[in-house]
Amino acid sequence: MNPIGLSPEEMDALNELGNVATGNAATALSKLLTKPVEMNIPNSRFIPLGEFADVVGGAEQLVSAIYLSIDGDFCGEALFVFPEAGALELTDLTLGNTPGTTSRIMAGTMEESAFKEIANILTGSFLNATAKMLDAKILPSIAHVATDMAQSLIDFLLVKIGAHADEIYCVETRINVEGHNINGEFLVLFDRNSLKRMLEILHNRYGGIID
Amino acid sequence: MVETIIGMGEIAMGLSGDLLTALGLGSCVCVVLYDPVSKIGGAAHVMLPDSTISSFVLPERTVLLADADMNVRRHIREILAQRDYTVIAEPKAKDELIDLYRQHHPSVSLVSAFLPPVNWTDAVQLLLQVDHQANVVILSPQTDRTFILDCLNRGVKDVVTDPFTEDKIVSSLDYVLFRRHLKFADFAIPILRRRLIAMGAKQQNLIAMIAGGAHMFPSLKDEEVMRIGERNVEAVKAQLHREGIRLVKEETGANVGRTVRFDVASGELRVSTRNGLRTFSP
Amino acid sequence: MKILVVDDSAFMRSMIKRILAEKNPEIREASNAEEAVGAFVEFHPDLVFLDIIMPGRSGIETLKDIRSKDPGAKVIMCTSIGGQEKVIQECVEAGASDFITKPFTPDEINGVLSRFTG
Repeated sequence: MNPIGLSPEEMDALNELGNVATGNAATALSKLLTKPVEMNIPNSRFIPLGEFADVVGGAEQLVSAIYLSIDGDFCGEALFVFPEAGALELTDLTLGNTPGTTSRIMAGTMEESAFKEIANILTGSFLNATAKMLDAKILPSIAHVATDMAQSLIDFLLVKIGAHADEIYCVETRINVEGHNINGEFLVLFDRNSLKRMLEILHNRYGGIID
Repeated sequence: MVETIIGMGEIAMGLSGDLLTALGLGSCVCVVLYDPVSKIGGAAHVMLPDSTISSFVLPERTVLLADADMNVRRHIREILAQRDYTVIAEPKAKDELIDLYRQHHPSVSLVSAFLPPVNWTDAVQLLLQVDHQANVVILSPQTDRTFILDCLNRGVKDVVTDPFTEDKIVSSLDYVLFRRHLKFADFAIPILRRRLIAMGAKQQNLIAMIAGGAHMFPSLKDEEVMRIGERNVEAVKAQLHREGIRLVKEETGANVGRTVRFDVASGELRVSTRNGLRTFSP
Repeated sequence: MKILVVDDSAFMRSMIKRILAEKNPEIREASNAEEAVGAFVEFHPDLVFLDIIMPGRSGIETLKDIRSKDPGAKVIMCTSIGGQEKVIQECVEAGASDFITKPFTPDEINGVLSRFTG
């Protein structure tokens, strides 16, 4: 799927950007949890709006999601989606609790704070690496949490994009923590304008990579 | 029971035996329109309040009308003129069809199933070869499902069956041309209404039930994002009012995701959330 | 030793407090700009740990507010976006004394502590 007609070289350049940024994020999360965190090479691509819910586990899957918007020299959004059980396990891990301690992530609690901080740190790291590669300033907003059916938590995002396009560019990575059943998705979405400007910068800075 | 999942920006119509479903509504609104007398119903999965903010280009309402029968052409031409559609070419036979299409590039082609001298399928195939994205709607006396499925499988976007009423023709053209706009309340609701009328529903019997329009991240205070659910509900209600359809049930707002299942035979609306299931009868 | 910890994340504040506890300082917490400036004026901390991304007024604005109350204030930016040159630049210009990028290790916090206090 290639709605804005990117060349293979351009797709590669964006891929590489996503890879480096995600690697950075994985390191940061490992540092926070003091455990190896596996974040596989991201799958960066355009996703049709209607298929987005499947990426995060299925329209009716009960998930805990964290949303942050991205601003500065480039605009977009970051989304973390975990099946509810995985979110609870990750929260306990972060807090150093015995697994099973947290049964619900309630607003205003230490558990919610810990859960949000994971997203803050991962997104911060990802954006730091991206900012460095593009010589830019890219800032995340504060994090917002909700637990409900996956589709209901992402539709406002898809609505934002849906006014102008039928597909969204997404850097998608799975998050796995060694020895734990935490299968989360980390997604970073960029709008087309931002994508195009990123490519311009990559072209100017790194020359022969893209033509 | 046959279940149809209505994705974001889609609409679906059904008869008794059909279950129309919209999954995981957050800020989106599911609008169900129903004629309880004829038991014909439909639903739209609305994403946005109105299309004026969109950057999607609206296709021109230009039509190529291909039918050998002069009376049919006149009848349709008159209908379309009243509905802002312009007939820009009228081929009477297969040979003219391709030439006129190439010349005029209509947004949609209304093609009779009987277009001399040969089988319509050839004509359609030729058209699609000229332009694989051509919007072709077949005019046909035949109503059997096999024929309709055959058409759809050949790349035809819709089939209008005899009698060629205004509602049937216009709802078909609207549906085919404005597919990408069904995500907006101001397109989805009028087009859905007309589709249902074309299927035999009666305007005076139509009722509406709506669900969704929530604000899922309570801590998100950004005006624009926060209000989208609310704005969708407002826009949907305004459209229903414009179309003269009575709203009889509303399950909207709050911070909860909703799945809606509408049973056309019984008219029951089932709304399930993480807190459980509630059922509403009209 | 008096330390002011400013972060909207209760989790982060508790993490920093736990690391600092070793040296047994007096610690005040604040979760946003208004609380931070108020606490700074009342508490007169020797050192401030300050997050950048907070609801309402940003950490950089808060930094300026604090520095306007006391141009000698020692403020350490403690943030997930500490790795960005332009951000560092902006904070340094606004008077930040140092930077720690989250996630940090106890050593990094202690390192800052020894550099800027006692």
